[in-house]
Amino acid sequence: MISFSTLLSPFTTAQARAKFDSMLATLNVPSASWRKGGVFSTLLTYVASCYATFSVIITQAIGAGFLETATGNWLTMLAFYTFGVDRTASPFSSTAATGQIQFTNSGGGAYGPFPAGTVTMGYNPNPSNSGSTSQLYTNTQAFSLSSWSGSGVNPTATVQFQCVTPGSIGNVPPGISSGLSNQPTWIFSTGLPGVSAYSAQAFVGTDQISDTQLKAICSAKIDANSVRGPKGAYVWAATQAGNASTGAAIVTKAPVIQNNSGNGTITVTVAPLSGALTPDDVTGIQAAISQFAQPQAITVLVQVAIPIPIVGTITVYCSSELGLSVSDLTTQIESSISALVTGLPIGGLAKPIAGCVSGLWGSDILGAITSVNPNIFAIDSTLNSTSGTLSDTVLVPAFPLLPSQNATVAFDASDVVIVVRMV
Amino acid sequence: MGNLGIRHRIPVPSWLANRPGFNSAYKVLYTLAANLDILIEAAEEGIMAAWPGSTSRTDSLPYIGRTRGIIRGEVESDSAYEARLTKWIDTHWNCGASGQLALAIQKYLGNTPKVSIIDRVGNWAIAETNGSVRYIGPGRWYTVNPGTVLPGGLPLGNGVVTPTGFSIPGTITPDLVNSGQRAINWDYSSNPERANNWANIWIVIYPCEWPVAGTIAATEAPGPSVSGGFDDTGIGHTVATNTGDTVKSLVNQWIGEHVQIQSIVWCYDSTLFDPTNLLIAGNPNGQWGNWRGRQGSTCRFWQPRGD
Repeated sequence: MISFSTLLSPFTTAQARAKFDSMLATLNVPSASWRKGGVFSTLLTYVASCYATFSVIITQAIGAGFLETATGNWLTMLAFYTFGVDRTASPFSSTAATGQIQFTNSGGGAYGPFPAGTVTMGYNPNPSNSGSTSQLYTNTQAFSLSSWSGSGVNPTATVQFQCVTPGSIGNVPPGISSGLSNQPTWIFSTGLPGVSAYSAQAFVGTDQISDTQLKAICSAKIDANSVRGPKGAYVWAATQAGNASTGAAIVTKAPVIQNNSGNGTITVTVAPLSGALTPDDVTGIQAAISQFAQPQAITVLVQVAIPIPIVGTITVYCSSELGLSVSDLTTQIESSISALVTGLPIGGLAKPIAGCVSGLWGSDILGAITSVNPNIFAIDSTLNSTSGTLSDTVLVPAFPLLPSQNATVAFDASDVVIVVRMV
Repeated sequence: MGNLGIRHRIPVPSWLANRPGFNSAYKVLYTLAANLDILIEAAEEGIMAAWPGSTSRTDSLPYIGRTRGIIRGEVESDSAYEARLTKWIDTHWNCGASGQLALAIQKYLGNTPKVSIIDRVGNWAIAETNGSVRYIGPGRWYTVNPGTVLPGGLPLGNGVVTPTGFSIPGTITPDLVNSGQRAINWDYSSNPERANNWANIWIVIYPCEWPVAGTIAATEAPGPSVSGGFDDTGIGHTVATNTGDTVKSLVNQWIGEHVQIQSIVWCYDSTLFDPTNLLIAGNPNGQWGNWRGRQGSTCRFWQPRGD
């Protein structure tokens, strides 16, 4: 019988060729000493390559039998066919960023009518790269823009737009105008002379959930079959919530449940992965809990976790590397910290020691930053009233308030100054 | 199933056949076919590795257990664990039920103890050592005769409820037959205001597999020592920290979220917590809500922090 660890370990081409050579040697065929590049050696290596590729597929398929070892598309299939969790459908799939753009006509021409999908806008988020466009957005509503008479109020039209590429890559911060230089701006891909564009609200899209998130949801889904209100049922219910008005999926962290003394009332604390939850979101979550988790005779109160922002300065020291820019490194560090905070449970983490404060650990931030680039060798910080080198301490306590689990660590890049010093 | 072996039936022309002295090419083909056989064997074994008990394989059981959310017992045999893994859907279907929680704890502990779960209302779920579960309820510790005065408006069946105090006259008798009463003796005296916390539970485990260590009332969770450092074992009895953490995670997994654990009671006295003989000394007496009420007990207690 082949050991289970071996079953999960694919061969490389070199390993397969060595295996062939070893077996042939026992049969008195000295394939290892065949001339490299010769016909027979090349053929044997080619077959070894095929063998290695086949072994990769087989090991992945074997790994797909277990939540712990399944990855990628194999995990997607395991989740769907064993746990009934569809990663390719809402709310677990990626969604395109959507938002509204207001057009203001300051010229003389009338434009439109434009059917949906016929007007394209570009967004350039990079101030130092004027004129470039990162993502394209098309209108999802038909609209027209009447001409301006030359006096009085400029005609306007507010139109829903959607990013062409799904996912958070299409996110746009609020308050973006067209025609700006050296700062984020909208760019007209469809010519509308004399027209300006402005988006007051953010464009928000979501990415497909990660393997780690999908595994956690699958584990929770198991217990969602129970009518007796175990934790997994509430976690699953939160994933099924939709905005009470629009029905749009709500993406939250796993909720935290507090028991109010065993009197039949519990409090469920929820927090968004990013942004904020609206009252309609909370209503939607309450309804989903009622549908999927709440046992009879149990009262469930839903509250939104209070965000505890990370505030301060992080100074990163990095040895120089060819082609590595300070701005790129800063962006990568922001992204890494954001991912860390997104994955942090509501209430943070605490060691199981009496009196240990829960929250975001300095060592976690340290790991998130150093994982960005191996040339980073030292980090200083003054985050949330702490100072010095990051270490094994709670940097951002998430439980300064009572009830203790009513808080969550939040990260906004504008709250944290990241200073990168190249050495 | 089983691979018949490609290496044994290689379709070759006669000039490539296994002829002594002229079979180098055949040996190459044989080697390639043999390695394909290994891959096929790996594929078969790998697929079956996810099915508990389908083969004699046991090294994939931890992976199956984590996939199916079933923690293996301390000394649970392969076959017993495989049997539990095959029933994972049924098991999770009952997640949150007292009986299921009792079984989860029992299956984990190496000495397969009797595990009783008693709620404040007086319902008992008892996982017997033979693996069966029986329910008594809404049973009770004591029945208070009509007319008995209870604190805090405690609604006791036919009792007259007034807020003026409580006394224990000779009117209290053990009663496991009548329904509609409450188990008041846990902490009616120390915490009468908790009378309506019907989802409070006590988990009672007997016998305990760890020796008693120290005389402390042992209301601390296992892990840190009194001095603030780390110990490998808990105070009050010598439970290993990782074992204690596992028991706590089991409890967190298998309870309903509306249920609040008052304490896990590790019992060292076979006469205690017998639902047919509740009046003997040492059983809860109305003052077990706080640890001071348990001093001198032959039990050890794990109590959630903050309670």
